[in-house]
Amino acid sequence: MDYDQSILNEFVSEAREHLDEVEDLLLLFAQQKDRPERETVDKVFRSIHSLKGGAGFLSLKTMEKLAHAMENLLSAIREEAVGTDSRVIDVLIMGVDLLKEMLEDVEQSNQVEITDVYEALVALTESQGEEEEENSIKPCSLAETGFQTDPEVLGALPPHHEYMYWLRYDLVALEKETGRSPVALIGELLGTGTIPDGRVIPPDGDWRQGVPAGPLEYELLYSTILDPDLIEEVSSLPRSRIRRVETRDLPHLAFQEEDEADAAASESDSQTDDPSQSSEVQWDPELALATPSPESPPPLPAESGLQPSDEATDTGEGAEPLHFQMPITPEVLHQYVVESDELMDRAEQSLCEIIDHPEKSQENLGETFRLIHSFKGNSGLLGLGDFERLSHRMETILEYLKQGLIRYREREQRLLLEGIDLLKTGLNRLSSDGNPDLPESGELVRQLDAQMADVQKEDEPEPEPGQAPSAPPSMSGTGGAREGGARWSMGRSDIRVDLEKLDVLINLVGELVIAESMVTRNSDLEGLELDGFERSAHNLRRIISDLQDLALSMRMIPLSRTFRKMIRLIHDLSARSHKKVRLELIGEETEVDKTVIEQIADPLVHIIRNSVDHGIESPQERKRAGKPETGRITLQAKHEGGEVIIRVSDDGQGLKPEHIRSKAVERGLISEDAQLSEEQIQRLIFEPGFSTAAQISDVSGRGVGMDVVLSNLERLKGHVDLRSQPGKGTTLILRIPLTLAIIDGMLVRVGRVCYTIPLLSIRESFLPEPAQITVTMDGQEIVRVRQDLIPVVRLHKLYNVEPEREALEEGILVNVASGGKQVCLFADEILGHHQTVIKGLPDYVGASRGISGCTILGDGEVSLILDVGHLIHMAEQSGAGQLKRRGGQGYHGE
Amino acid sequence: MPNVHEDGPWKVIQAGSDLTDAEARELQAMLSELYEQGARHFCLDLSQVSDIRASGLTLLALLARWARQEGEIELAVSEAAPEIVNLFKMTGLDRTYALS
Repeated sequence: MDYDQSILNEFVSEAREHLDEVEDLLLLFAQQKDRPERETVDKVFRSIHSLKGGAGFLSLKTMEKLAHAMENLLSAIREEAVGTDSRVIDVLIMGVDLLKEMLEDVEQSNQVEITDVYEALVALTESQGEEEEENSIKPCSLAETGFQTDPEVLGALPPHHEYMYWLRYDLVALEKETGRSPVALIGELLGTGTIPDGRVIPPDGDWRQGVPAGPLEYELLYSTILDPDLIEEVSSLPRSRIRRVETRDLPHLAFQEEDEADAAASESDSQTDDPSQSSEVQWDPELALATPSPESPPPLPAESGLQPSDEATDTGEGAEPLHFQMPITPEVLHQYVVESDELMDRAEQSLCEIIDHPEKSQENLGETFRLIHSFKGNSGLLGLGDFERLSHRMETILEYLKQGLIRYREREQRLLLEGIDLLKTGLNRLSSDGNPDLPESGELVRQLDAQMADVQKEDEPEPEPGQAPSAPPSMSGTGGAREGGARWSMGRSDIRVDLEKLDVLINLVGELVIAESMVTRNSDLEGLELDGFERSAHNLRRIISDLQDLALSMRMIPLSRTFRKMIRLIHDLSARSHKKVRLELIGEETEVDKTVIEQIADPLVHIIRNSVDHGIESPQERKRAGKPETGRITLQAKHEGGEVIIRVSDDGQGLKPEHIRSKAVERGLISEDAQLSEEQIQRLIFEPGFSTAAQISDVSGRGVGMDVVLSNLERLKGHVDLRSQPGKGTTLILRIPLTLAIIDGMLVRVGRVCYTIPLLSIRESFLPEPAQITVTMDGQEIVRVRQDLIPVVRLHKLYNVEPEREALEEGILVNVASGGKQVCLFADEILGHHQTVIKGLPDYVGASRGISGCTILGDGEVSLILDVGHLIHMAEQSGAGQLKRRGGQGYHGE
Repeated sequence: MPNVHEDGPWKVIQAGSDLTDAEARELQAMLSELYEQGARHFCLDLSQVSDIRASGLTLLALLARWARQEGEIELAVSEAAPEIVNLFKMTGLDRTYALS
């Protein structure tokens, strides 16, 4: 399965970092002999777990398999069932080496031979009782299944359905054992595949004598993306009732295999620096659902008797929500059209050069093949079946040309260029009115098919030069000046810029803001009447402000791609766990700094894995609990008060405090007599190694993951709130400050130190009356603001500075809020409002909670920018009392 | 309890609810009675059906086999929900039952 190159690059880069760390830590194991430190093992385990998760997500199966075996061994080490003798360390290091080797050419990683290391890992792990089950589903030919399915039906199956199985159910027994009716079973199967043929075999007997008790055998062909490791689990059948139908019998996979081989061959012989070339985003079933297309799902011929009707046939019940949730947004479409136009232009150019420069024909054919292949992948991802179908044919012809099976002559060039013309016309139409159809492609597709058939038969004499088949109706000639006026109206408006340059630009803009302030507020100007200067300064400020907005927006990218990954994740997880889960995306257009996006993908994967595995109940349990069978996970993003808020909520069973507590005690995370509030108990799930799962699955349950969430967020100076109600669900709220931003701030002074408070976090500021102030028994100061009692945080105490004013009524209180909670910050005075460039604190300053960065003031002084969310969190942790929630009635702190 | 009415040569039998064990037995009894009375064209109105349990499907499969063997029997299904239509298609029963 191919993905956008940037996703692969991100994965490779992260995986390398993980492996470098793992390698160092494994060497540490050796020094720690038989009892390595728990923390060290946790780190190694976490890294391998993350790598496995990423590999699984990207369908890098060999890598996933190896990492899984390493993870098992590490788990045994963690449980002290296996020691870390030199053999264990050697095998783990060999595993790391292999993983690194795979990362060198990640797209070919599935070809790397891992058997020896894998078996060694399994053998070591099995020494403490764990067993890796071998997959032994037997193969069979299509004829052996007894089905005589229409070849057209088989040929029209989605090409990404890499597997076909013959399954045999006893529906009566299944219903007795699992409660699943035939309707439910079929709905589930259609969620992860297609049933091109099926039959029921009733028991012997005359219906007039009554309905026999069973068995009711149901045999079916099942075309799917699920590999043999998963089919047993998803189908709920023993291996004896499953057969894998041999691929050679399946016409829809014939091209797929060639296709993959072609792509691999081509890409190994030509590489360029164009990222779009390798954005091999292949057909994504979820996305394709959004736009019905002739090939995805395939149109089954009516005469087959299996013509799907309405929306239910191919997508099944489970996939239906996605149909509505993942529309192709205008941004995605725009990007697709822009990239495709570039691909087409370059393909056209390469093709045209073949005849002029025969000495470079192989190079140019390879280049054209790659470009068309990328285009095909992108089209498939968006479910643009007509585009995909035509480009697939063109790609195949190009491969034949590369292999010398056909000669490149005018006829071939004309066909290919005409294909490009048609695709361009289609792109033009798509961008202007959103019509994804390519009705005029039929004739050309037929000609290309005929050409392919000629090659496949290999028994037909080559036509004489110049003996071209009849020209398709829309053919417009050959060569360069083709349909010049038919270009779409959108035009190209993007260029790619090195990210480093962008960072420098933003940094310089930040410096410019500060420099402007230093000039216009220069102390040398104090007391001078400078009307002209003020006007010019005002104009300068305005221009700089526009420049800031523009510069910052350049680094901001929508969360949609990260969110989109989760759709696929949910799809896979729900299939693996036999749960019906629907993902709802809200605010995916929310733009977030690129750095933030890079850091939050991992936590989101872990949260969603946990939600599916531990939160959402099985359909039967949900039914019993009076809930819809399909669980819901909502992923929502928005900006709030200078923060990005990402909320992941599920309507599952919620956290069970007693359960968590007992597991935490069992795992030695807390003592039996520990006095913890419910919230504190819930937060135990963020402890390394915590897991309540009774059984380890490949989805989650190893107690790794949620601590990754916390650590990644801390790296971004964000934090996570957890809300859960037993039986109703769990919500995780990730709050991430915009660490790279220019925000409006209020400057306050405490003694000689200036602090900046983000304006968006401020509710009000006021001089308190003595009557408003109360001190609790434990010394916590509380100020009454109308009906609310709000704790006071003295900044001078928090940051240990000498204040000018000690009495609250002499200074100023700034009421700030974050996440529904509020505190009043006490300062000496407010200096004023200013626009602030947030600069990250240098690493050598170390952890600085409550501070999100710093800024340089007009006079050259440094002002620390307060992180209100963290301040409130710190106040909570330090026992500042229960914080007033917005909208609450009264203060309940003691 | 299924309701029956006539539509031309067809006996239209409306299932009252999901085809569970009990409903399947009632449907079987009704069909048997109609057959004894000479009916040969049966149309199942499944507008009230959102689920068909294994026993219900067993009855439908037996009827289909019998119809294929007898030759003179015609079977049809009307007003079925998409998931029920799916069931007929994915089990091959739509080759015997005309879906409308």
